[in-house]
Amino acid sequence: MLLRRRRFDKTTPLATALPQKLTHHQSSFRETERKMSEDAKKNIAGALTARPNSDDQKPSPLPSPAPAVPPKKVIIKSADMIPDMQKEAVDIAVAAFEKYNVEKDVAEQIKKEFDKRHGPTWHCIVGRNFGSYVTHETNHFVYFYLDQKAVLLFKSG
Amino acid sequence: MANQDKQHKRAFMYIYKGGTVNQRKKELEHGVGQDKKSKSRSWLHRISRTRIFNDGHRDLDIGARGEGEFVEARKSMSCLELGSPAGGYVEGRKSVSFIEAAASPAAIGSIVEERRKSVSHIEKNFAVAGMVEARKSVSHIETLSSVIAYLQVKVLVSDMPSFMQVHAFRCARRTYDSLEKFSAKHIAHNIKKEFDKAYGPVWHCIVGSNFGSFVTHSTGCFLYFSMENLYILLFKTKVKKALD
Repeated sequence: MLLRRRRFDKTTPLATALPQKLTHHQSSFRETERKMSEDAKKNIAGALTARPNSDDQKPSPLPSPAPAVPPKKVIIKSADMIPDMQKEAVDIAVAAFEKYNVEKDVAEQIKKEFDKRHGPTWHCIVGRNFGSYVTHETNHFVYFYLDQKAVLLFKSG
Repeated sequence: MANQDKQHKRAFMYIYKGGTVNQRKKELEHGVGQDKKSKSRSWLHRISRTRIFNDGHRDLDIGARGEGEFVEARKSMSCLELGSPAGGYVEGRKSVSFIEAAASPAAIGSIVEERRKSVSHIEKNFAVAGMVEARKSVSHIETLSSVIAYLQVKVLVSDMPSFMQVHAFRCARRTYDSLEKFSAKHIAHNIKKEFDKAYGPVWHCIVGSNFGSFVTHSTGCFLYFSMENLYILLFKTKVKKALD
């Protein structure tokens, strides 16, 4: 019966309108809705998200000692997910970016890994410029920046 | 001449409505009596005559297109089962009105040409598949291609019935044109809300000019199209009820 609604950025006019109430027959669903947008990048100061954990700033050490690659910058923009899972998502994303160059391959890698580890059904969006509006299960949503790329990962269905 | 055009319009509208009624007998919104059935038969009889008249000139072209549209019709019909009956019916009405709008600005010659195509196409499919499928084919040809041209969208990947595609295109175009300042999340918001309301939960929408994705979606509920320099991804996932 727990339904949560979160708004990423209350400062933008478009976001101030209250979302439409769910109809009665939907009240039993354990779903929450939220928006994500590239516009958030411009409103970092106004963001409601908690500060990212210091742990998430550091990607896991590389398995083999290679010529030093500067560690990627990680910013958790928004998360409704337990910290361990967040860190896991970031680690998998870092590995995927090292392995693939095409965004949809990165998204595929991340989604399949999470489907395997945490059960179906996950969805992943990777890109530099996109806005989204999705419904996800409680405690299964994360949206973070990895250098220039944004990664949206959530569970639904 | 004008009278003939009007008659053609009526006939076309009639066959479309007939198809709709047959598709939704369970709703019992329209009773189909013997009179209507007899009219339908006589109309089809007239079609066959027209077909003979056009035989020499249109076989190859229409045959090829017929195959493609036939596949589309099948897909659409199977998907209709997933959607809610009320929603589908409402969309059907919209499609009808759109056909009227599309016909009015066209030249008289074009109108006649269009009618002939539709007629002979019906004849083709009637032989291969059921009457119902033939009717659906006609409506889809008109609606989908007209809307795509009119709204300036390009379909990249689709696993969705035509009426839902048209709904998405219209919603995206309306939202995009109404925004003074562009906002990808606003477009995504409007499309998702519209589809959640019309076709039930749970839909997801991604709008942007640069992104890759990998998702799992319900059968018959996936659409990826472009408009201006935007790419829009729309898909549905199943809903699991919470364990209360």
